[in-house]
Amino acid sequence: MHQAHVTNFDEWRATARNLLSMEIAPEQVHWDAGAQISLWAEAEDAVVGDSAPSSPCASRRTKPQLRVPAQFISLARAASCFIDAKVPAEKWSLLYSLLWRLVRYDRRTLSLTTDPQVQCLNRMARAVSRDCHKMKAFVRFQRVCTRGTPANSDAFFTAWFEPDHAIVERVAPFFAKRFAGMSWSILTPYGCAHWNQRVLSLSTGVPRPPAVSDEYELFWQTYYCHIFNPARLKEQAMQSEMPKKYWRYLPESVCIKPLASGAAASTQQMLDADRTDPLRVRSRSSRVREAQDTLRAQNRQ
Amino acid sequence: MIDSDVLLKKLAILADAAKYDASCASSGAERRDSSATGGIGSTSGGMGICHSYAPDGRCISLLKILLTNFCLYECAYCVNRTSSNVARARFSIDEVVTLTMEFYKRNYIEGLFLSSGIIRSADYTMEQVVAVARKLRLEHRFAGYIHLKTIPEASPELLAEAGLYADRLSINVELPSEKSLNALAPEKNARSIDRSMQNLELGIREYKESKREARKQGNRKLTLPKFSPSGQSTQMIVGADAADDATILQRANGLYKRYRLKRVYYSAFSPIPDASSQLPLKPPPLMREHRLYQADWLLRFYGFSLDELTYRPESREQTGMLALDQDPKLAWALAHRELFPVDLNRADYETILRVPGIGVINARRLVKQRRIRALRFADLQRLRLPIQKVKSFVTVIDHKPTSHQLDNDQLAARFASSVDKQLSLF
Repeated sequence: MHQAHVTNFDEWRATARNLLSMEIAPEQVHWDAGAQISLWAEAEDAVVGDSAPSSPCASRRTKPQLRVPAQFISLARAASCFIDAKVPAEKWSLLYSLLWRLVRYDRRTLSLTTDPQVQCLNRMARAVSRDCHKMKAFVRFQRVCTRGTPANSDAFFTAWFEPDHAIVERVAPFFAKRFAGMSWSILTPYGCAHWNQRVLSLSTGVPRPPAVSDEYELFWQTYYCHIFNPARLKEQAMQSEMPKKYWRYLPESVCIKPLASGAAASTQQMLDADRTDPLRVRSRSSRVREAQDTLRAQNRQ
Repeated sequence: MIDSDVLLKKLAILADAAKYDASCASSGAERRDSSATGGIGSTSGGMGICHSYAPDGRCISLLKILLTNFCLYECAYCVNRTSSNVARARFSIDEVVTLTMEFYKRNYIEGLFLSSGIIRSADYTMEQVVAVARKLRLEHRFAGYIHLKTIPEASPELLAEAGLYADRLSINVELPSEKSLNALAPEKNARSIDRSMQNLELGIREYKESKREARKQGNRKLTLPKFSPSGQSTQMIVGADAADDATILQRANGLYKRYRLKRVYYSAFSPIPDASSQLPLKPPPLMREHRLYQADWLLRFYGFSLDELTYRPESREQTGMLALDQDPKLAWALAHRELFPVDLNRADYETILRVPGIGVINARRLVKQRRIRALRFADLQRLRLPIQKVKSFVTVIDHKPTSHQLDNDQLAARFASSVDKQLSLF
């Protein structure tokens, strides 16, 4: 039995190449996952897994050219961010099994869309991609008021988020490109990303959110309350796209309950209210009447 | 310095004024970001991002507001019509710019969707709307998404400038027929709406073609100035006039074909505060709106034609309305049982797309899989297709629906009741 200890995609790739060149079947490898580490912070330390077979063995034979579909690499990269607390190393063994099948048996393996392993890979990659998408959507920056800062020049923004998977490194460049002209930190329990308008850096996670308040939260809540149409209440539709677990990041979530519970009454009020005479203003204001008549005359031409 | 209390009041009024416009999309934008300019903002390319959802289940992607809700027009269905008693307000250009930038920096939004009531003249109003976009793009190096509602009567020069800053321009056709428009929105002009949509289409097409040509020749200078790179869209109100679904879909189909719209939004006519005595008010026909969207999808992505959509499955006859208790694809299939079951191992992709319960993604998966190995019933289960629905309509190696299953008169009733249960969720 071979032991392979990996903590990120590049380590897995190096280890898997090695194992494959020695023709070691997936059943003969025991994968073991350490805490997911970042390549940025630990680039120098990124080594092939501890107990992975050493290279002399591999160098005895000529390494076969490893060619796998590009689609596999991009799916595998995504799946490598997947966190399953119960079976943390399952993703690495799954990736190796699929790699084995792709290289040794059938390059079309990924087209077996109902194959359990292929489905599992796709599901992991989809979960990670969904997590990234939700993070892009639901991260909320708060402006940190540094004393004596005029207007916006030195404003600094911070956000707290708890992704399901190890995606901070994967998503951080998106924020750097989007908020290029602003300094910010995104803090999560599994790692933090920082942008100072020049470089993106990562650091270890922090356990809890910073205590910050931001005056624009009131503006956002006001907007949220007034863009809602009570006659169309569909709480289930809202929750399927914005599950409750994200609400704690969203300043607008305090508005949801009162809006939903008042919706029926305010709709009924609209239905019961008196109707307004369409001539109400027209009959009083000659300016309005003339303007409307001019337009109406043009339409009849 | 901005007066917070006043601005909060204006924001409340002008968001209330904007909420009946269904569109809030930021999808399909040309990819760009701020890494080169050091400004703020990016577009996310294919899929838009919904930063929040209102309790009405609608995506909140953009700051959707009116510049002002003062309006000279008397459109009976509109909360902002001249005769309405609602509170009125007007943002300054700077106020909209500030709100957009500050909301964006906090990652509340993907960008701005700006519309306006018509004040003074079409050109005057459009000039104000364009000024907001100009300021965001040029002074603040804002690279987020901008959607501008276009006033059809405004001058072509203003539309051209709007197209320079906006990702998407839109003009609402509002009602499916000119007759309804004349009756309910007497100041709106169906011909100028058509003419402006045509102008937008031309501008968008010329810009896209110049981009293609520039790429082909490797000469960026050949690209024309930007013009609404995410195309144009429109909205039709459903249930304010007597138009049936067939009329609405026909109008939509014509717009897709003639002006290559990215989207037609259907907006169920909703009770509004201070409604006009011209219109009877009812709760919004949400299911009808939903069915129209489904039918719209069938037209655009499933190869259905207009005359295949409005069937009553029981009578197997066409009516002008979509069935409310069944989705339009199922209704069509129940009215055409002679075409089923479909053999998933042999049928072409287009035929598989017509099976109730199989969408574009799963149709592709099935075709991909069967190239390697024939499909079995377990494959359908693994793809998590809605088995109860699908199994009556398909054949695979180890599954054939019995012929009486398809002939059974109860078939329609079985589906109808299951759909009904789901309906009550809304």
